[in-house]
Amino acid sequence: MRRIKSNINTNSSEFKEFKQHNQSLLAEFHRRQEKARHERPQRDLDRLAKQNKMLPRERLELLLDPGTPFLEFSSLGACEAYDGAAPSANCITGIGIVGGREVVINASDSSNKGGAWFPLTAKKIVRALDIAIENRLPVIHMCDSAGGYLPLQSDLFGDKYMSGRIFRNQTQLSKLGCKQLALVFGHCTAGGAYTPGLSDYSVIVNGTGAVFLGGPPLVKAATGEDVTVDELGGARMHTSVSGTCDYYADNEREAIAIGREVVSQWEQPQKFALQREAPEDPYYDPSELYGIIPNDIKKQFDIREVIARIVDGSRFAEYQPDYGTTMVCGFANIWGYKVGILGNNGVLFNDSTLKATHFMALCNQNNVPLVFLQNITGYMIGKEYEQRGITKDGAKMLMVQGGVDVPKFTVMTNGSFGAGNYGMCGRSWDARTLFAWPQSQIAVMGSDQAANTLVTIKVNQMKREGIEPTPQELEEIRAEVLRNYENSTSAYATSSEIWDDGIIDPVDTRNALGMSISASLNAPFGGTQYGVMRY
Amino acid sequence: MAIFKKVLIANRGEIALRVLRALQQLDIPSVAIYHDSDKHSPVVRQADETVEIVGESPTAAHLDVQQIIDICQRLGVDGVHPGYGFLSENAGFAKALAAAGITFIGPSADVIELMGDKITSRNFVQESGYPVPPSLTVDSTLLDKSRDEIESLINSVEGMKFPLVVKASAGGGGKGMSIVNSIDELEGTLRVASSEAQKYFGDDRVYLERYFSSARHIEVQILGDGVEAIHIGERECSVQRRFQKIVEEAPSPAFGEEKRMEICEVAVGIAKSANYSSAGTVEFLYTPEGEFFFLEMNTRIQVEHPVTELVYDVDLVAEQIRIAAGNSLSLRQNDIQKDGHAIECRLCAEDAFNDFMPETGKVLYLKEPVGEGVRFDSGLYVNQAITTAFDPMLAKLVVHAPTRELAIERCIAALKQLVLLGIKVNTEYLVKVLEHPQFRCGDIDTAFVNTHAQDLIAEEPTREQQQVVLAAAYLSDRATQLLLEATPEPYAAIGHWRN
Amino acid sequence: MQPIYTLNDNEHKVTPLRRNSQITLDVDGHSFDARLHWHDAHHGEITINGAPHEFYAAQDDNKLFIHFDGKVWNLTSVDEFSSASEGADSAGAVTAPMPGVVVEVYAPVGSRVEEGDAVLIIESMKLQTEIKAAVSGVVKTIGAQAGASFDKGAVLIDIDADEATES
Repeated sequence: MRRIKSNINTNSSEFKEFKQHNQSLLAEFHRRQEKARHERPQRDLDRLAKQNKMLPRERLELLLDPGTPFLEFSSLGACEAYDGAAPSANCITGIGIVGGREVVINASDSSNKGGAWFPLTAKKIVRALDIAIENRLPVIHMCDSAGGYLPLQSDLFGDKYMSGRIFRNQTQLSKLGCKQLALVFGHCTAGGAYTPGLSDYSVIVNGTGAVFLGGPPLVKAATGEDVTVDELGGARMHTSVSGTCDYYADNEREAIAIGREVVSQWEQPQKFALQREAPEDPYYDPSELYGIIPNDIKKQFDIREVIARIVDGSRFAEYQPDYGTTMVCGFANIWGYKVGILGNNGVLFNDSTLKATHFMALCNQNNVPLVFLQNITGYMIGKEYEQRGITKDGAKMLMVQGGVDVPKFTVMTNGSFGAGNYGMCGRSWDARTLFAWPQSQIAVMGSDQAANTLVTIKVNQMKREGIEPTPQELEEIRAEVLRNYENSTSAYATSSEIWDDGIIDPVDTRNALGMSISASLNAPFGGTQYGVMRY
Repeated sequence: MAIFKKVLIANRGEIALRVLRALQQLDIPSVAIYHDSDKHSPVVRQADETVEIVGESPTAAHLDVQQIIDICQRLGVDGVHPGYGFLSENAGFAKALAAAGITFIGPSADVIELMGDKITSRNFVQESGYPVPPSLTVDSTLLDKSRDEIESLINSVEGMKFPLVVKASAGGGGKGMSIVNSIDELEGTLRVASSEAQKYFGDDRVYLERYFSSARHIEVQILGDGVEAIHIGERECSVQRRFQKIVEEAPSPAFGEEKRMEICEVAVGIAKSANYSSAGTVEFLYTPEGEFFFLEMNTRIQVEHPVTELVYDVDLVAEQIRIAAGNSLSLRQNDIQKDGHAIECRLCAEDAFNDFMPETGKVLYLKEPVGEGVRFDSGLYVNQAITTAFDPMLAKLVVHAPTRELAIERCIAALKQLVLLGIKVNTEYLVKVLEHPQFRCGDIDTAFVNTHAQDLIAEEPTREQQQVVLAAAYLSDRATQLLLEATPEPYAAIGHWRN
Repeated sequence: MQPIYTLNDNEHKVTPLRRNSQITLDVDGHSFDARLHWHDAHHGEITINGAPHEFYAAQDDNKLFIHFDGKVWNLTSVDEFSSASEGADSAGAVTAPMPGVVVEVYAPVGSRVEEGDAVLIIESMKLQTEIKAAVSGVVKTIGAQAGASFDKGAVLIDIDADEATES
């Protein structure tokens, strides 16, 4: 496979300018991550210390195998919601390695508000369990949550994809043969009690861990019975009397050690034998991505320069290099795994749309997973293109993309606007994982068009009321509309709502994709029988 | 030459194997007895016949006289070699064997009784006109006396003064010994010593002796046939811990030919006075002032006999067997010629840098040192459980070289070459002893280990050493390797990474 | 999981960072590349930052023995399981400083002892040692009866301390 020839001049003033711009964006990203992960109310830290509890991330590090990666999901989930009251959506989820097995982790973050579930906490957990279902991965639940956050209970409870979905997903996992382990570090009350209850294995820590449908105060109020936490749902009781939990642990460290031992007994899954080569680091330095991504979302860049800094050896077997050139398609390896890559080099015309459609069909028949690198303003509009059937061609692309059986992975490298978001496998299209770069944006249309549209609507409204805005007023209105629009379309805003599986540093894209692909091979796919059509 | 039809080895470990070698060389059929815990040991695999012995404990089995005699009679054994320890200085055993018409390979029961008991032997030696250290026998009435009375009793013995050492009359091998620095400590020490003496030797008699803190321990190897007696030079055994020798050498660096002849001749005189027959050792204290005192006589083969064998090219165990079979000495004093220098190190299962605490474990891997002049006497084998049931001494490294300096170098090299994994052994400590400048120049006494305690400490590992050791440990640790191997692709190659 | 090894009573963290043809290890905050080649099951050569070192290794459960540079290094891999048998953290508990055998028990279970009283005599190899009560109180447990052997670290005696002593 041929190496991509990079045309980037790392000494150019443009490269340096972009690099400086992106590195400052990165610094901001890391600052927000640091805050979301580690800045905690002293009250919560004191309480954990008093209870002799570890911080959730300390537990996580002890659980994971040494020398292995952890792909964390939605580290900035809920960070723009609830006035920042639920950093990282008050939980930690991701894919890690325990006892040599790939597992999904679902850990309560008891270092903030007792690990209470906010609406977005439920969304983030449900998403993690969806990932487990889609990829047939076992799950380790690290339970230490105070339960639903009552002030917001109506946004949390009752609807299809709210908290009940967590337990529903647990049952579906079990049905699929995906094992679950619950490590009970804190109280699992009411619905929360079903997490260990629905797990195949559970370990409970003496003294701090407890499982019950109703805690002592509720029992007292309901039946008048006086009972202690330990009697009602403590480690000794559940491991020797009720059988609700399997293993008694003296402390959190032991619980984790027992958990690791349990997982080590699970069968090693037979993964899909995806075509694979020995991994090779990219020839071009991934950190050069900082000088490639422009400082303005409207500036174009060659997606091949991005591919060259993600794939093995910077090698890329490009498909139809001279046809439909705004769509770059081709084969490459990521951490050894064969993938088909679709990347945008401009707006989708009829030919580039059909090229993408054909390429996806080829990959699907060939059992090659798809990687979408989104930088898309949408499908070309206008008389000429409609007459050539752009709507029809776009529908073909969606139909094939929605119908493929191979795993799909999406990275929001820059803009993701309009129907292009759909065609390039946006959130609604079941990418196994979807990650966003810090400067990326998602919206139904680009901010300038949107601002113009919104300003027009507003001015018309004012005119109806007999007000004629001055040019200065017009400019102010426009600026405010633009600011609000950009705030709501920024990666921070969309990631907060868990429209993706997290914002990542561009240089981490290769590892994030490598782990996602590896994880996806736990679920069966392939065997599609059809003739590939040259659309 | 008269010789035995079949000899039973009433011992275990390295000395049982050593006796077996001598029997094989003399073409005498052998019988090994063993407790179940030793059933996989080399001597059991190599002896012509083997019989399991039973007892409440492994030691009890080896001390069961009747059981051993029954085996001898059943198998037609006409000689028993007791090795050292166990029944080797048990006159009752020698008598019982004699009554059963079986030869005890060692001196006669009378001589064992005379020389084996410390109180009677020191009286005998004193009466024969040889020097003994000032001492006081303790009888049951002593502890009832007042403090003043005890003090005046001690002062009444010429040359007697604190510190004193309490010894069990029936003792040996350092068991039941302790030092008393003042009259305040006397009562408690005597009580414990007496209880220990009763437990180990079935005899609670103890006695007090003046303790020479900076004397050397010199012993002379004797061979006698009941009529004639010769010496095979001396051994220096001053480097001791807990009254037990850990490094021995021949000849002693302490003195010149004249003094050597003097002390050796005294030893021969004592042996002759006792009509000593077999191999034996006469132990002396040698003071910095050049005085020497008789300490005790060991009527058996000694642990440290190999240093004599290497320097004088004799086979002491074979000589013991020949003499016991009724032959007169085959060697004359003139035949005994010194050649070079030999050093023995006792490898013990202990944490030498932590007050010599005993260690238990299992032999997981053994690679014996080899090389010119290197002899390694051991009964060790892989998977052997090292328990507290037996003595902590596991093996002996003995080296022979033309000079003492060379012997030290060879010994250090061999100690470093020895690979014994699975149990903490004093190898590094022994290297520290041999490397000590005072040892190198031969300036040693029985307090050596204590005097130089601040030098004889574990070396602080360098960072590089730690890195190598920790990396090797991690990479050979079964648990971590299994985990690494189980790591699915591409996670090991991605390694530790967080997004 | 954080691999930790005890060497000479000090704990050392060994963290693998990455493994391909060789492994990158972090030992106590210093990282280096290591490569291992086994000559046989126990004898190997480890190359660290390009420099080769011969060693021998053997393992008994969590105890590791490495012969390197002319001496044996005893290591223990630390696990997170708390052992019930090690229990005894009461003030009155005395654990065995070394393996051995109980010679005599002076103070049977239920008897009263004062701090410093001899409660039993143990013997290891050739030494008898008196085990003394650490606190005044009533003997709750005797770990091993006369004649019985015990391992290093075993609880020899546990005393229910008097209230006054505890406070």
